Amino acid sequence: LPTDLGSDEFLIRFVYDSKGIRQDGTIKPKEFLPHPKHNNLSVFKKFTSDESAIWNLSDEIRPDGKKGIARGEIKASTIAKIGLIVDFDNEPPNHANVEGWPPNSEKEKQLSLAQELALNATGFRRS
Amino acid sequence: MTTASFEIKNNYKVIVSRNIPSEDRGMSAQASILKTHCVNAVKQFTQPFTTGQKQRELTASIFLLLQNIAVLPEQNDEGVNPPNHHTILNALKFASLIPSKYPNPEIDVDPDGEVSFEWYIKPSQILTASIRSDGRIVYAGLNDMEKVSGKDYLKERFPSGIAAFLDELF
Repeated sequence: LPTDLGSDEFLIRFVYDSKGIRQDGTIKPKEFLPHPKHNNLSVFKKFTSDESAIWNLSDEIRPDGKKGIARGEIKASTIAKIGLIVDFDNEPPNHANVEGWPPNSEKEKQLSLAQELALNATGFRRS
Repeated sequence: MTTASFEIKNNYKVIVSRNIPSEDRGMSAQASILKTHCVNAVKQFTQPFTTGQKQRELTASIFLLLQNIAVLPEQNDEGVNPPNHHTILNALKFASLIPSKYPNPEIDVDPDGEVSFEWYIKPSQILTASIRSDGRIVYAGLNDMEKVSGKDYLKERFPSGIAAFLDELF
């Protein structure tokens, strides 16, 4: 883990697709699949416990105006245990990329890792 | 915004609404893609390869995806592509191969434009299969401590690796 990211800190993956969160409140693995072009997963450090500030961030980062409808939270240390790497670039502030994914030609392995991330994530629906 | 609607009748007749703009009125690239999806999917759909209520529901799910594609930009801000019509056709064929003894999966689109089929009990008991335009199928599953993943190609029979894992799950 980067030195500026504690192992107990949580990382947030925002969800913009209504099908990305199930009725039971869990986040679907597809929301944790890496970007098909950049082969990384964009996340944010949970910088506050203020719910409105977190949801505001989800809205601000989308140039198309989409609003976050849910989020998955996962411990930074869990991502490392799964075998992925957190690159805390802080650009925009609190942003990080989850890297170390298998190549797109091994999508079955990407799916498997995404399922593990989803298994370890806690889902939150925007009220 | 381009829209299309599909009505699935008990006798499998598919009605595509006529509000897709024609070329004469200046069809957008998005509408043109949608029209291609519709025409090809309807051709495939009207072939007699499915029977039964479960197949109807599965096929309806895929047509619902088509409706959603109609409102997607060709590539959104996340660089995510909608599935092309080859992928949709492969998804229809894959759906037709799913043995009736398994519950119907939830159908969705992955960020790379592949159509995914998800059998879900809980986060630790799940199988996801994604199908691509060339018929390649990748799958991954969790059954508590057990993990599987693999790839196959769309053939005339349901992939044995996926079937074996579903037999464990259900």
